[in-house]
Amino acid sequence: MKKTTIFLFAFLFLSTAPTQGAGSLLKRAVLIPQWVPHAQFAGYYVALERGIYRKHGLDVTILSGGPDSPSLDLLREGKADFATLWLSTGIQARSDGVKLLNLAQVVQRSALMLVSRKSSGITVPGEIQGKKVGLWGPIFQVQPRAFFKKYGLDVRVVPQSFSVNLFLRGGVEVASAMWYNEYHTLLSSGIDPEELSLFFFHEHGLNFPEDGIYVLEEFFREDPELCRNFVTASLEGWRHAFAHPEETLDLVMRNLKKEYIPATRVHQKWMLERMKDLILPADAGVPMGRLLREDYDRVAGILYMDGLIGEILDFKTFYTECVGHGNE
Amino acid sequence: MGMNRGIALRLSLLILSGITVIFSIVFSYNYLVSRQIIRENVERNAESLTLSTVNKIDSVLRAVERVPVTLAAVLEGRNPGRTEVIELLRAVIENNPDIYGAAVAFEPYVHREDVRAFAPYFFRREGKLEFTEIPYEYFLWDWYQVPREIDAPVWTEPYFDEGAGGIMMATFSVPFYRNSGGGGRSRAS
Repeated sequence: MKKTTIFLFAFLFLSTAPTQGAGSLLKRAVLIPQWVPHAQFAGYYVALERGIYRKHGLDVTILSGGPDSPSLDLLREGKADFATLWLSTGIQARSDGVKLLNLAQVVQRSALMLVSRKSSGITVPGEIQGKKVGLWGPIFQVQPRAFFKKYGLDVRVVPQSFSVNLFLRGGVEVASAMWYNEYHTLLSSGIDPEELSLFFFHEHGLNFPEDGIYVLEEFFREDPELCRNFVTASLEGWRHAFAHPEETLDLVMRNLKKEYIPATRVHQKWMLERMKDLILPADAGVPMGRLLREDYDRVAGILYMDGLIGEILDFKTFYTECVGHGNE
Repeated sequence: MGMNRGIALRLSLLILSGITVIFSIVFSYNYLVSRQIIRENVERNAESLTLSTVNKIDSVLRAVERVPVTLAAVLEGRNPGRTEVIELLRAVIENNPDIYGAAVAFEPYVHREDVRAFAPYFFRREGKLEFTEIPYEYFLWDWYQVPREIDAPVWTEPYFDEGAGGIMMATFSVPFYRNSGGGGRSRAS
């Protein structure tokens, strides 16, 4: 009996101890990005591969996101410590009672857009009136619906999948696209940029910054240092990815192959370059990863006006500044 | 004597240079013309090979297309129940070895008021015929949504069918309507 007790205690101790690595104690953390390991998330994978997380005292595991593993669900259920989410999703989740914090607003600009062929007679927003428009699920509909409202458009909404074939075959006249993804797929299918009309929401007063790093309030309270280190290391990973694009693309392609996800290097290269455009702040005086109050106010304001959130939470309750911590 | 040797040497060099230039021109011309002829032949062969491959693929695809077109016409005309739909599908696959699988997929709640998605599906696995009901919501998949929205038969791009067959496939889909005003949709591949 005594032996069993000793063994049991020894086991418990070992299972909760931090990982030993490189002569220092590493703290474990799990990240879930919103989607599969495309170049959209290259910075996190680079931070892992290059040992940047370890350098900052972290033993990080990155789970693969996607439709079967919604990052918000995994964060809420405690299966992941950190999640990337769109700012609008984060604000809505907080309003719905999920006590989460935004630690960094990595993607500063909205990449979501509507595209149409000029040959279908659409060159300005007013000409979308009465057309069939492909829209993705709820989180992707806030900006388009605000756009329709702004220009007084009445359209026929068609649910859109994550392929662009419905648009290519003429099933819808206007389609949703991410600048770094579907837009390039359209170009790769043989359409010239001059043939398309592009409606970037950020050019129409509807800039919704996208991927940010989130954590549950309770997790942050327990170890703020770990959280700050995670943000610092992730941003360092992004800087390294932008400075070494070929090395980064090698890693992205390896990860995609490992998960049997069809991908081309040319497409991932486009994605990485666009992520650089979207992540590096337009104003050189703003540090990378900072959530700006005006961005928060704009997104929360539109969500509130559309009845998607019950109240606008104080900015400081939602956002915890971690940018500028450590060696930044 | 020395002068004669000088003249002979110069003459020889002159003749040799002339011959070298003439040969160089002849060889270069020959090389360029031969290269052009070979390139044209290779291009012609490639075009013929491509055309013959396209025709071969087309002949298979055209034959395959007739099956779901006929099936859609039968479904529109007879308004069959569950058992009859399944038996029709089984017959389609048993009698058409070029077809990997076939399904009839309905609009939400059209086949039965309490069933959102109904799509019986027969497919081949290791030479045997297997039956399943497509286990995922198929309404936004290209094979279903594209023909539905453009109201015309469509070949999809090749895709990996993870949920049902677990293989790479291309699908030919034909929309069909139960009663006037639409309702049911057909898909067969």
